[in-house]
Amino acid sequence: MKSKTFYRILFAIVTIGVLLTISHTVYAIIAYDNTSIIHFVSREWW
Amino acid sequence: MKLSKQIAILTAIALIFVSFNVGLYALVTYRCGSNFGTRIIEPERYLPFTDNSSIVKVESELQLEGDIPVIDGAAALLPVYSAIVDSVYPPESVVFDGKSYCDNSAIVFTDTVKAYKGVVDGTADVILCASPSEQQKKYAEEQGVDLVYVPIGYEAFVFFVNDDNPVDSLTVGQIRDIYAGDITNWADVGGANRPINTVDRPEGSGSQTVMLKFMGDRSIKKNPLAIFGGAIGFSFRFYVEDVVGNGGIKLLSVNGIYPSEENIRNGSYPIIQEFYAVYRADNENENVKKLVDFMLSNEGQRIIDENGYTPLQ
Repeated sequence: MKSKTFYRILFAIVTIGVLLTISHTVYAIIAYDNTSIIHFVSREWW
Repeated sequence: MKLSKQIAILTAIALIFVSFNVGLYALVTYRCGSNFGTRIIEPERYLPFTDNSSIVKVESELQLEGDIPVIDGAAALLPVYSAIVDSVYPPESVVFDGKSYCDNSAIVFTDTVKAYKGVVDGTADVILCASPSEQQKKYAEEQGVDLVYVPIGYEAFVFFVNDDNPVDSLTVGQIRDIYAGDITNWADVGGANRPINTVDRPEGSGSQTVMLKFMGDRSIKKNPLAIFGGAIGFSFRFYVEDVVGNGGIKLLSVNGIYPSEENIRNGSYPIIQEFYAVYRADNENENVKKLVDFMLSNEGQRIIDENGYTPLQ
């Protein structure tokens, strides 16, 4: 694989990965803010 | 760089992102529920005028006629105001579409925040709620509305933790220290060596307002890094035990007193809150006064008692 092609694919993977991570983090924050605290506490690991 | 090395690098980076995101999604849906667990009360369980309803019905001599007041309230008090509707409202005043109450229904099911706004705006005539937050009082003042607060019953304000948390009891002082951020580890109150995750509610919700009063002049501090620690939450007893009925949590004793029905009635449990029937002072619907008087009558107090709350006497 040419070096240019390799870096293009790498850039694409990192871009998609970062976008996915940002969207899942936003989802997690919204979920945490809106969840029932009873549900949240009951699903805890000890 | 060799092709095999390039492919290995790309695959490894892709796998790191995929595994992190799959893990995060799985964690969130497990802890918070796929629908975020927001709609945990099903109004059809407490529907008036139905045989399989969970409300305890009480026969009443009073039967409202004419301009029927729209009633709403805290989610936790749905069983009470639903049972009141069942006793004194005409059946045709309740319109339910199978999932929620319709716009032309005399009973509405929202929550404390919307109920207080509704009674000030005039979309609800009577609401059953805990005492208002400072914001809710301010909103009424801004709108030039005087609200009348009539205490109609009591409920215990409770703290809960996961069933597997070894701590069973805290003192009032320890709870305040925990929420103020002065105690941050369960080991400091006789538990496991694990950070304390203090969970609270949205501004304006009934339990958050009570919690702020309970804290007095101390503010609630949250440690975002303790999100995976052992959580402590608060709510009203009947809501936690019967309305929601989730397994997996336990109520804490406060100052060594467990929030049992008996300890609430005999006054030994230390954090008891009144809840109110609230209406606008300028509401001219004569049925509003009749309805509130009914809540204070023997029949009304029996409804409060038999639907899980503590009557005034």
